[in-house]
Amino acid sequence: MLGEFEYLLITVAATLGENAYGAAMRESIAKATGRTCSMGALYTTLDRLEAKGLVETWMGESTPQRGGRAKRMVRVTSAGTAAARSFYDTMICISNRAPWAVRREGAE
Amino acid sequence: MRDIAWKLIEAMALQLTPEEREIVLGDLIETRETGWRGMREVSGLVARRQMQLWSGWRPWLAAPGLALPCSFMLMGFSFAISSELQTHFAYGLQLNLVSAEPAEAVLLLCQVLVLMICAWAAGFTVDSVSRRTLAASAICCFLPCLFCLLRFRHESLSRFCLLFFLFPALAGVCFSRRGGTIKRRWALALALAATVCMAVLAVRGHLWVLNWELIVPAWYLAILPVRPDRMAILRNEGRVS
Repeated sequence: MLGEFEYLLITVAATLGENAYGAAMRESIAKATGRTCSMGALYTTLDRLEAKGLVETWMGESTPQRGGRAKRMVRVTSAGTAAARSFYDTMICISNRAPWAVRREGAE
Repeated sequence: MRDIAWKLIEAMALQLTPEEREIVLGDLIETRETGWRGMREVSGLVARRQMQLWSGWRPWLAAPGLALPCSFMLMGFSFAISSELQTHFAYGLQLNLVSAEPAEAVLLLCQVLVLMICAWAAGFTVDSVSRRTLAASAICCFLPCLFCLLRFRHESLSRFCLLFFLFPALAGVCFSRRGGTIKRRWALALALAATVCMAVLAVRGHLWVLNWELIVPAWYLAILPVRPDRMAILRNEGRVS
């Protein structure tokens, strides 16, 4: 099963789609969680996810706003999507009876 | 101030692979991080990468396994050679080996050969076994040097004679850094020469039993030479420029 931060990275990468790369992912995580994500945490976790076959990364094009330096582009694989879906389902299922869970209509 | 901070960031990023360095520096420029924050980000990543490196066996073999003990033992050889040479210098000007006993000259030659071969092989092996932790290996090499330099008491010899071994050792490191490889027959010849010289010294009672560890790097090069495909992998990983 994925870890919390791994799930966060896969979700952000999937949401950003073709624009998923290091700096953009850090920005999205900071916006969503209100906490900054360090480069160390981001890139070592991406390495781990890539080793597990959950994401693919490659060197993207260099842009002037990056001083002509390349990006590390990220794409979620089908195995990554399945792992994230499994994590999400588990969290929803286990949170269902929690006092803080918002009761949905029709739910027991 | 920002220029200085950026120079420091670039210096720290040298610990990363060229690809990762480009990515990280590009991210910092794009997000316009402040100098202090950029330093914190890069140092954090470098620290994590170093910790990952030390989870393998290679840095442990290179630094405390080879650099530390070899440094101690090679300092012993450096001192022995310096003492021998001093006794053979006539009036401090002319090397007077001819007048020495042939057996003594052979012993001195053996010591010099062991020092040269083993120090070079140790430098080469330490760098090629774990290139990215060379700084830690260097610290493991220099700590015993510092320890011995501070405690060195000899009337007629300079304390820096202990450091003779550093010249061939640094030559070995530089050779490895340039991506140099050694042919198996040459590596075998060097390992055999070092072993024979050490055997001669052992027979004459000039060798401490633990000194035999010094031939490990030479035999490592002879048995496991760095293959061209290995060099290609190192280049792809950015470990060899």
